[in-house]
Amino acid sequence: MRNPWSQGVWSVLAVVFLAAGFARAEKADDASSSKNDNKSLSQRVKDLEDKLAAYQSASDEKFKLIHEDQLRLHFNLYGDAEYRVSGPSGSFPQQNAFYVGQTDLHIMAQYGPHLGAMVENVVEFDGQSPSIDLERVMVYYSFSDQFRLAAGRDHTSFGYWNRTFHHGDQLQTTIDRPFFLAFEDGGGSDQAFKKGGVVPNHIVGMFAYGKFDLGASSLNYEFNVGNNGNIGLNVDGSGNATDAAINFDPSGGDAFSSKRFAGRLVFKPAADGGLAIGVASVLSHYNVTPSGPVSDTTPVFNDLAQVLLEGEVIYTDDNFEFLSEFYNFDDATGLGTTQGSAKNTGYYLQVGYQAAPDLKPYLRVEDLNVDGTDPFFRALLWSNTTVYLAGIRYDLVPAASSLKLELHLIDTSGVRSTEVASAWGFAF
Amino acid sequence: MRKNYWKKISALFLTGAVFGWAYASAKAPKIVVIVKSDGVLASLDSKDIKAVYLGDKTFQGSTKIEPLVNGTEALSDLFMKKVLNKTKAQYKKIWNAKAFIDGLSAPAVVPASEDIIRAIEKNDDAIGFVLDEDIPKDKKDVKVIYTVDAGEK
Repeated sequence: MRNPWSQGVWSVLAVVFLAAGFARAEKADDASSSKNDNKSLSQRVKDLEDKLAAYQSASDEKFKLIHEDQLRLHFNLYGDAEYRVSGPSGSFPQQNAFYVGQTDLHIMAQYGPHLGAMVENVVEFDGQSPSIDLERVMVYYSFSDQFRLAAGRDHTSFGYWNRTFHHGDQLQTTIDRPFFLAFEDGGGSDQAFKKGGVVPNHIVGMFAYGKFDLGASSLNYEFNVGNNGNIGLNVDGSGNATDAAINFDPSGGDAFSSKRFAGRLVFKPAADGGLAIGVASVLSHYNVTPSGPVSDTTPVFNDLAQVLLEGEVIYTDDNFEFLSEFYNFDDATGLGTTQGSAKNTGYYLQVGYQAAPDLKPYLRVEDLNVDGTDPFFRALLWSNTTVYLAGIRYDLVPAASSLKLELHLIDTSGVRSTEVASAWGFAF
Repeated sequence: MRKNYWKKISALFLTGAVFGWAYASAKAPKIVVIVKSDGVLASLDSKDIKAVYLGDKTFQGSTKIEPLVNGTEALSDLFMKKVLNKTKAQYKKIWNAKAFIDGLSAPAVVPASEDIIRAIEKNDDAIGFVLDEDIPKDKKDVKVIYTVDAGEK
């Protein structure tokens, strides 16, 4: 006879064993599943480690390309578009026109830590015909901060403006350079003048630059030796000069056996401060090359030796700029066959204040005072001129694009004219 | 008696607050400028660092310096503000001018702090900036030559 008690026990035991079996199976599944999870987790960790190693390798390769002896090329593009209204002061306005300023393609190349090159091509629009000027082209080797050697064509070593602002107007506060510092072919100058300046902005030759750390102060030096230029004179049918310009790289090379020398020193009392005081000197020989037969009154000479002396006091910081340069043109050096006058001077003073992060008003006065008998200035068709300028600059896109609006009051030997100029500049 | 008791409690709280503030300050992240430990740049000071990143110092002796900018934008903006005393726009303007006048290239941007640390470890002439907490404790090849508080104030 079946014992109900034992049946119950066996049932319970069965249930217990069954439950234990299920539990064991579940544990085995868990273990198996856990084993599978662990496997996938370790695989995932390995995959991540592999990806990280690949990323690090790519990053190292990228740094290697940046850092080691590889060619690096940089392109920059500068330019501006202008609108000007001008005329004699008594009957202003008389003329208005749009202009395209100098379009500048600037290329920098570096190979390794010491060797580099720079090319600056400027497209200028003179009426209908654009012309392409190779303004700067040079190769350089930097031995250290104290000594860099270069050769080619660069801006002559004088003046803060000539050494700082080249052909990209976006980088300077104003639309134009001071009128007497205009480029030889008139580029960078006020349209009111439409002619070149009176200084040898460019030089073809060899250059040395460097900077000495004097503790809290610093001293920069620049030295050039290169070709002299000549004065190209266009004459009309009567042999009278119609326009003239300094040719800094005349065809046929340098007519003189002696070379042009230029040197500049800039002292900064606080190396990381805004104040800089500089002096410069340029010794040049000039001759005049007329386009045709000249009249008796047209100045022509074969060898005028000029010593240009320049002094500058500059202060710039993020909010304020004060720029001042003073020039003396000594054409009576006795070093050439033609003697002029030593009483020729020029200067400009410019102040600008960053009134707001994107707004900068500024003022400038520019002056050229020459001896009317001096053959150099007579050949270049320049006489006493003063310009008063007031303007405002708005940074449309900081460091990349700006709008400028200026009023120019011009006095050329008593003849007064007025110009309102505006420009939209860019730098990429 | 009660007055003394509350005085003691207040003093205890004040002391605790001061220590708490000091502890919090000590623990605040710092921007550190790093170079290779035994490299040529180990003797650069804060004036040199500013000159390097603004293009006024490009060589240490005859060794060309390779400054690196941290690709983490917030960190690089803070570095420019606290170490160079420039906004990003001012920094860009300076390097535009350096490129145009002297033919110099702006410092390379490296994606992240760990990339900078690895670059510094491998190259004598490299200099970069990271947060102090980004540098693993066991890094002996990297030397901190300048430290500045990364707080916004």
